[in-house]
Order: sequence, then structure tokens, then C-alpha cells
Amino acid sequence: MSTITPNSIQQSQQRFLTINQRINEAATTIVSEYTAILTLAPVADKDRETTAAETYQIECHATAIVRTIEDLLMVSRSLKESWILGQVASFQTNYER
Amino acid sequence: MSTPSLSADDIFVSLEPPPLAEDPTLAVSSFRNLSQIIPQIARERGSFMNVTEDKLRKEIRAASQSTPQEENPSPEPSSSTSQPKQIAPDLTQFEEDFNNTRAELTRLIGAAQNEAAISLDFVSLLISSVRPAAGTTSMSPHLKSHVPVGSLGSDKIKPLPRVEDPSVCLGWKMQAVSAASDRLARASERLAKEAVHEKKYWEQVEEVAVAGEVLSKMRMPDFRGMGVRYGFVDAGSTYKEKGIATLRRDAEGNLVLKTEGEKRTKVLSVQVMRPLHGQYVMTGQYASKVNAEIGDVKCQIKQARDLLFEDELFYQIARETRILGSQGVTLDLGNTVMIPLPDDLQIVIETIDLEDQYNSMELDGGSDSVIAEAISIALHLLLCKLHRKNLNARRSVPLPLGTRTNITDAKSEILGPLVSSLAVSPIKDSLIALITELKSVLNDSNLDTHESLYI
Repeated sequence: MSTITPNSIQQSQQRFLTINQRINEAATTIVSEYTAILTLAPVADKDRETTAAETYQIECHATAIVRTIEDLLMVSRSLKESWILGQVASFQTNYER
Repeated sequence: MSTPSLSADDIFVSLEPPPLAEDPTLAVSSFRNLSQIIPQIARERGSFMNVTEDKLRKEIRAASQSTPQEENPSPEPSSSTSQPKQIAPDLTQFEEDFNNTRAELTRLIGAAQNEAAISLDFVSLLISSVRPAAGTTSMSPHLKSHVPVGSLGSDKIKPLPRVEDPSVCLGWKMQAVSAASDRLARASERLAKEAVHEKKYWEQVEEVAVAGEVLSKMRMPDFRGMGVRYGFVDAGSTYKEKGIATLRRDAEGNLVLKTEGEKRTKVLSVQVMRPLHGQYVMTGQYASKVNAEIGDVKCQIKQARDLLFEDELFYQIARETRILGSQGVTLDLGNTVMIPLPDDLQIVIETIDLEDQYNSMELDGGSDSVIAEAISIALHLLLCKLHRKNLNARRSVPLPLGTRTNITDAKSEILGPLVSSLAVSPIKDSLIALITELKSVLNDSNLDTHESLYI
């Protein structure tokens, strides 16, 4: 692993922040999409047209959840990539420091 | 008269002209708003069909009988003196207003007529689809010329009785929610598998990294991920193939090494040929030993590296045959280099397929196979030397700009040393033999040789 210069520490922190942000965004999205599904679920004397539109919306929200989780998988992949290339300080290195 | 705070029923429109003297502005404004007054009249008295002149006369008469007693206005005496003075300008004003109103009325009547004509056209067109003759007579020439007769139809629609059945909506919702839950369940299953595959893949990548291979990020149009550099670029190789492979992941999460271009399968083989009964016969052979078995990724990287080296070596050798052409070195068929040496020895360097390598091993036992092996090792070492030389040249401080350098002819770095070292000793032997013969001849001739010939 390359020597950690102040610059690379900065970069590493920047990456850490970006990854954290992406994870938080994904979590928020998942919760909000799930809430949307629950909001649409009641029948509540709506007419057929509204119901049909809502059916489609439920489908869309479910797909959005799946997509967000796939995005999280990409985050984990890029994290691993950075770890392998020594761009992010590993836990061990942090601990040693 | 037109106070907005009062409701329409409270207002009674007077048919008399408004009082002239008191408030001319109000009068003018009331006359100007004819388009507002007409709907108001219609509201108060119903359709204009019911409004007849007689009725109006009666009303006026009744009003004139009642009003003088009730509203015998007190200001009348006071204004009686001033009225004659004002009456002349008021009359012209009134006439003007009257003309304006008349023009306005004409305009409105025109608009009404136009609208009535359009309605007539519409009805005529509608009728013309059922009874063309009846419809066409009342159609306007403009409509006739622009729209085909009978092109508008109509039909009665019986609206279906709409009964909202809540069970339908309930069913749809149930379907949608269960489909969503199914989708999420399937996705979770798939993603869990995917995560396991990813884990497997990255473990293998880590193994490769721990083994000391140079990994890098690859950002290619068709692939984003990890790559491994197995080539000799950093060691000083100038070969066109840089030796970069991508570490891809197959559907099962296994690491798959994919080199750029086709997979190499050729290794270098050195053969030593000697003449026997007038024909050259191979007396020894050595092919580079490269593990052909497909093992794990580390093995594959090693194999790719070895094969790349073999590839580059033959490329350099084939390139240098041109330089050594004067010494009889030839390149046949693009993949066989023939090097004739003194003493009727001939060395053939060619590339053979990795699979043939094992078949040719049987021939390794030939009498000259040691020579072949030594030559092969020498060639490999010489390529390493060439790499080192390139690296040093790359590291050295560049010459100042504008320095004139004599571009020397390409030098043979691999074949040259080999050929010269192999050719020197036979040539030396033959030279010594020649000189020895000369010496013996001179000795035999009993010439007085002052100086002895020592060799």
C-alpha cells in the first residue's frame, strides 16, 4: 500500500463523505418510496380511473426501491475497488493511526 | 342604476331616457353598456317575444300617473331657471349618444345574425347527412364549397349505468400491492445472490492483489471495473501489446481474466539441424515450457505473461532477421527464422502452438537438445537485456532540444550476439586449421623461417 500523504488523507476523507452521502440518499429514497406505496394502498372510495393510475404508481415505486438497492450494490463495489487500490484507508490503517 | 352592490332583482330598468341634466356621465355610461342592459331586461321581463309595445305603453302610463304625485320633485322650481341654458348642449350630447348607441346596436344585431347563420349552417350540415336535399337548401355557399355535404353525423348514445363496484377497486389494489411485494421479494432474492457473487469475486481479486499483481481501474466503454497489468511496459518493453487484462465477473461470481485481443497460444521453439545424407535433419529441439493448464486466475495471469514474453521475443527476432540478412538469416512463411551457421549447422526458430509443446517434448531427447535449450535461454535473456536497455534510455536525462543526433542503423540486439557468438568459434577453428596447414607446408618446405609461428 502506498504511503499516506496528507493529500491522500484528504482525498480519502472526500471519498468517505461521498460514499456516506450516497448511502444516506439511498436510504431516504427507499423509505420515501415505501411510504408512497403505503399511502397509495388504501381503496377509500376512489373511482376506477384513480385506482388504475394508483396501481401503476405502486408498481413504479416498487421498481424504484429495487433500483435504489442496486445502486447501493454499486456503492459497495466502488468501495471495494477503492480498498483494493488503497485509495481509502482501511479500518486497520485507521486503527493503527 | 348599475350599482354593483344591489342584486339584479332589485334593479328596475327604466325605459325612459335617463335624466339629462342631473348626471350626464351616468347617463352616458348606462347607454354605453347596452350589452349589459339587454341581458338585464331579459332577466326582468323574460323573452323579448313577450315584450310588446302596448304593454310598455301601459307601463309608462301607469308610471307617469303614479310618479308625479309621489316624487313631485322639490328641486324643479330651483332648476327651472337654469334649464333653458343647459338644454342646448345636452341635446347635442344626447344626439351623439343616441347615434353611438344605434351603431352599437347595429353591430350587436350583426353579430347575432352571424351567429344565427352559423347555427343554421351547423343544423343544415347535420340534417344533410340524413336528408341531403333538405340540408343543402339552407346551407351557406361558403360551407358548401368548403365542407362536403353530409359529412357531419350524429347518434344517440345511451350512457351505461355507472355503478362503482368497490370490490373491483379492491381487487386491483390487492393485485398491485401483491405484485409489488412479489417484485420486491424476487429482487431481494436476486440481490442477495448478487451480493454473494460479488463477495466471491472480490475475494478472488484480493487474492490476485495479495499475489503482487498490479491492479488498476479500467474505464472502458464496455467494461468498468478492475484490470490487471501483466505486461512488461514498466520493465522497458516497447511492444505494441501493453499486456492489460480485465478482471471480469461471470454469472456465478467467478473471476474471469480477459486479455485484450485473442488469447495467445504460441511459444518459441528452437531446433538444431544437421545434414545427414544430403538432407537437413533435426537433431535437437527445445520449446519454451509454459504451463498450458487452465488453473486459477493467478495461473492464468502468469501464463498470459509468459506467452506475451514469447510473443514479443519472436516479434523481435523476426524483426532482426532483416538486419542480419547479409549473414544468410531468413524469415520463411512469417513464422520460421532460419539461421545458417558454419559447419553446416542450422538453427531454426519458430513459434509452435502451446498444445504442440507436449507433443514435441518427445523430440527433446535429441543429441543437440542441450544446444537448443541453451540457445532458447540465451534468447530470453537477451530480450531481458533489451528491456533493461530501453528502460535505462527512458530514465536518462533527455538530450537538449535541437541536438543533432546521428540516427544509427537499427542494431540487432538479440540475434546479433547469438549469431556472432555461435559463429565465432567455428570460424576461429577453421582459421586456425588454415594457418596450421600453412605452417606445416612452410615447415615441410624447409624454408628458413626466422620467426616461428606460435598459435
